[in-house]
Amino acid sequence: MIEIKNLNFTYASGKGIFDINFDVRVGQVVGFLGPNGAGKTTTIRCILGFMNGQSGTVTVDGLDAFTMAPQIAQRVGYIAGEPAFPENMTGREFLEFLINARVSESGGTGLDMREMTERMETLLEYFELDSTHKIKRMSKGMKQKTAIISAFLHDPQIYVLDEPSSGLDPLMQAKLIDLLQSEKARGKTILISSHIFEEVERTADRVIIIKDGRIAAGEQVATLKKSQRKVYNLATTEKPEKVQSTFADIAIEMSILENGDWEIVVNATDVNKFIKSAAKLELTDLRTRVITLEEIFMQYYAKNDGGAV
Amino acid sequence: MNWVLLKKLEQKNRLLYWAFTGVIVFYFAMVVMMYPMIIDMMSGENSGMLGDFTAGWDNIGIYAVSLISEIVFSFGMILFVMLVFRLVHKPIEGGSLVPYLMVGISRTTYIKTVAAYLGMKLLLLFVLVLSIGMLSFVALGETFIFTDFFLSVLMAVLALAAVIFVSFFIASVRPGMGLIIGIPVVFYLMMLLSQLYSGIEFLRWFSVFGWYDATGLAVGDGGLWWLVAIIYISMIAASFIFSARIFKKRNLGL
Repeated sequence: MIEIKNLNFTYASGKGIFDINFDVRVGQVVGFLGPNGAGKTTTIRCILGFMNGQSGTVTVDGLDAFTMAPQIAQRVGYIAGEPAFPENMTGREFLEFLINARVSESGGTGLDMREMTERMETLLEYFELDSTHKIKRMSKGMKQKTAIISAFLHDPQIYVLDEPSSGLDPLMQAKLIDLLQSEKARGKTILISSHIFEEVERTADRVIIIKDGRIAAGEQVATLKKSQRKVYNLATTEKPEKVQSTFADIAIEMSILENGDWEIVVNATDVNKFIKSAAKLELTDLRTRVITLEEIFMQYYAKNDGGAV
Repeated sequence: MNWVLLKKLEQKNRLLYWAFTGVIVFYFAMVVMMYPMIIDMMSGENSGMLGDFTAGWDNIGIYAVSLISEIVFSFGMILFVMLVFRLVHKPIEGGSLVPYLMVGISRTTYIKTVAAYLGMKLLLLFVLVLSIGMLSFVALGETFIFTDFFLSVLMAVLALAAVIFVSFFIASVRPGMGLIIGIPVVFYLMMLLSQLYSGIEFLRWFSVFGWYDATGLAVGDGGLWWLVAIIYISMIAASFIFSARIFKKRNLGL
């Protein structure tokens, strides 16, 4: 559905995106992770046809992203990282304008005006948005809800979401995640860039991590979790010195938790060694803690940065 | 062109347009009311920096000068530069172009629609100035030659349109607002400076506003006004065509 091959775009400063390759297949939800300045927004701009890569190709639903941008826009719902709105409109006026403009450009394809209006009312109710206010007087959260509704109005097949839950309170974040999950269940294709790892973790099948303009990893979330470090919590009657010496060769991190248990982090490749070493100790409990996406992300960024992100 | 968008642009900028047009019409009416006093002020010893321009002139001459130097160029320029800023520069730099593009409006359609909006508003300005002028003459019982007055207003609006479309072109093809405002202002200042004294009259050739003989046109002797009109129209057309072409390929940091 979204296919990027050897995409390069270099700004005058020398920053940019370099040799980006990934795809998002029909019905997939892909998380796009990276800190500010890593190249997420530049990549998204190329997907939406706002920018044209200096080399490489970007296609959406088989169409060239730059030259066929208006046709692609009919099939895509987009939430910008920092949504901007035309001046002097209320939320409702803005959404109604989008419906009218979309109908005028759609050439009879997609939802008609009545269907989009019904969808707008449903979404307004779902997100509890009072759309009678002027957008410029709205809070950040209300503006974000308006942007979310505008992306979902026409029931697109593809969503490109750049920090979609930015500015939303936890309740609304949960509602957005529910909505994304229901869209996923309907077979929609979603590329979601977010700093909220729970959001990505709960919706994405696959994660792409971008670092310094290059793809650092692109794996299934489950595979990533399996292939990365393992975290074990163990309770033992042994002296601390013995525990430390037992795992000294394989532990990446070792610490004592508040309850007195040990937390030991090892590479996924060292699981066998860890089990064998642990068997030498008098254990009262041994648990595996599920590593979070955030921890995986931090690992990628810690690799070459001396541990700092 | 997208009619839904055109309607929205009209609604969005209605207040600004009519506020400035109101000032233009009001100023115009004031000039008419004060016509006898202006004649007195500008004649003989009281002739100011514009020179003794009442010598041998009729009321059309007064109108031509006031139109060119004060009303259409100055207020019109401010109004239309603001419109270019609001409709081209700000949506691109501020990101509010995104909702338009994401409903499937192409960049070319957007630029065409904005150009059509500007063209319609310039045409409306032309009609209003022409109508108010003629009504004022009739109301005061002044005689005027329709063709001369028509051409004076037409050339003033065409010159304004040419300058505005240069701004429009700049706003469409590059970031930054300095040139969008700077170029019209420089043209306007060049024209004003060229009127200070005959030694620097040549400066008017550096200003789009000064390419035609406004005062001559007002008294039925506009020389090659038609050639200048063709140049203005060509500038407008070229600015529009290149705006659309370059904007279509421009990388937008939206």
